[in-house]
Amino acid sequence: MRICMLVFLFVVTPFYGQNQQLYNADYLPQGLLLNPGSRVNYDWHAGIPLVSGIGFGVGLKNVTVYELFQIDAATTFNERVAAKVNELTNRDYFSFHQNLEIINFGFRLKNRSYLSAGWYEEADMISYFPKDIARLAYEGNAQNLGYFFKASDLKLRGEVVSVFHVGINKQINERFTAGARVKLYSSIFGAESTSNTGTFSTESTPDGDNYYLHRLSNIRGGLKIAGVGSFENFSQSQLLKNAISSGNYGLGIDLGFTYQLDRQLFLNGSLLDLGAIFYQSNTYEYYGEGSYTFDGIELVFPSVLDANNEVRPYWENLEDDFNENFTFDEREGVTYTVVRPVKLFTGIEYRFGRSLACNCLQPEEETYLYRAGLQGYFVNRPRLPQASLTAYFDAALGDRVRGKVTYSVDPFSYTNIGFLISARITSFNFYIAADNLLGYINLAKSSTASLQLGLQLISKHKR
Amino acid sequence: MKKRLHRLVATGLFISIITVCTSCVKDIDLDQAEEFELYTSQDIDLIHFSIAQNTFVNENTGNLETAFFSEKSVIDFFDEDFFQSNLKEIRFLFGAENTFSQSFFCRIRFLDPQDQQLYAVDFSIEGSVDGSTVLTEKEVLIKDSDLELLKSGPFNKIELSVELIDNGLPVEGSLDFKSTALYTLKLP
Repeated sequence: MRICMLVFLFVVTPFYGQNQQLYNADYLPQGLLLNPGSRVNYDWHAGIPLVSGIGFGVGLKNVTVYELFQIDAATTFNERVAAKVNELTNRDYFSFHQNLEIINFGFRLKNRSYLSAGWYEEADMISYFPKDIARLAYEGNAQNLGYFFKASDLKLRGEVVSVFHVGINKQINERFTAGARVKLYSSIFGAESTSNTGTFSTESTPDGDNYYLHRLSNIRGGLKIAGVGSFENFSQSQLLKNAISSGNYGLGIDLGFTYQLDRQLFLNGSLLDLGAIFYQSNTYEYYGEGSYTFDGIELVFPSVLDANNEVRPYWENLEDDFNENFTFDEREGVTYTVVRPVKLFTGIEYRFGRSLACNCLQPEEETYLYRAGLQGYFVNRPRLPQASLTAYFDAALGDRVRGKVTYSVDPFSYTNIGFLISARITSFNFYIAADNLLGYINLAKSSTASLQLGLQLISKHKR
Repeated sequence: MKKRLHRLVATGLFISIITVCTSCVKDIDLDQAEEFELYTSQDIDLIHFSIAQNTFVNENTGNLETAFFSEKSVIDFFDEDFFQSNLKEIRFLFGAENTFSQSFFCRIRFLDPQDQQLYAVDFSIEGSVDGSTVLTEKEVLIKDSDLELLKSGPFNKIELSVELIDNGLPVEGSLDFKSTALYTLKLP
């Protein structure tokens, strides 16, 4: 059953990771990735390749696996799916995020700045529930006469990206620390269907030529994929090659700061992945565009057959007329730009409790046993930004262990309790973090869960 | 105080790790996904026409010239794999709005590519006694063996024949014919 939990996390459900536990954990290098302007109190770090940062999570808004797959003799699976389709809206979504650090290292420069760099892989996907398409499928058009089914309800984006980054962190003065990170993206695979427009409608026409009038109005949209050409050309070796050199590159920056308001109060914030990927290599698009109105085939009388006794080409005329006005096709070599899902963290932290031994790198800084804070998180998504609010309590449980408990209100849950444990043995530092602990009792009933862990070397020089 | 707080946090973290390590997925049966089926019904207009008395009578003499006419059109999608696999039934609705005093005999034939009849529908269109519009509708449900016949044909053309039943009265009025087909498909 433990294995099934892993299968559930890795395969069955989409993934959602907010990194709420790692933000403001400035004692971990991963905290620096989430806020390049956090205060760094170590001299160098080196991640153990491939295990220094592994993150997984799930997120299904307004639906759980249990709701659909519960063992319940009173309802059938199809009834439960139909009820859920009726309940969900086009603002509900499935999201997936996964990250794997391949290389991560950093060291303090002579001018006291901290330089960090690395390479990680990140997958991020969001698919909104295509309400109108599901409604058309389940209810049919005859039950929705006069309703305009929107193509824009089809909205999804997925990217697997290889990210090379280098960042600098500097304490500007006693109160202010700032940092920035430059990122070079190499897209391994991308899929995008976010700008679909137009409607399909069926109107009752009591005074018309036929029972109905079917309209495809100003349809424009499709699916763009990048990295492998068309689906028919999909190749794993090409994906691996894309991790280093895909031809689909992008540039982005992270910015962050920490400002000490007084001895114990800190304000911080960061803006991550402010950038875009420019797709131009191995791209392919499946698309449809046009407008068409149809009310059946009009027969013409009296019937006039030609000399060969052929029937009138009503069908061919219909096909020609449709093809003149509407295009379903595919094309390669499209170029397009996808803005990265920009993330914004902002927080305020209060430190208290008996002071620990002084921070030798920053002797003027008081260190405290406990930290309590509030942080907000926003991520830009194709339809609407997602946001969450997290309160946390972080405690030093001795010289080598820190623990953090979080409570978040996010789009998936109002009872999201999470934790982070960071333990250091000599220079080896291990951390594990998870959120929505109540959901772990039975993951099937949870709409969100995430797990992050990592192992690295962290060193502080004693002065 | 500090010890108690540490103990509280440490206990909380211990419980958290135990919760994560012992978590699982239970009380569900993912095999139910195999039971998934979706029946979708889409109503699409079929054929239509409008005729007046000049279709039947000589405009100069006013005499009945022809009482029968017929026309057919290709409807060419039944041989596609998607419909062959997923189509479960078709509900046709034929309607005629008649202001002629004469009634009509209407025959709709479903033909294969060689014009062989696969299925036929006959119905009468009522005449109007006072020149007002009389609506006649005929609903036909095709499923099971009849549907298999249309699929195997495959159904490729629809032929419509209309015969005016002469009642000796002047042939004046109009006939508006409409039709729609409600296709029910099982997905996936």
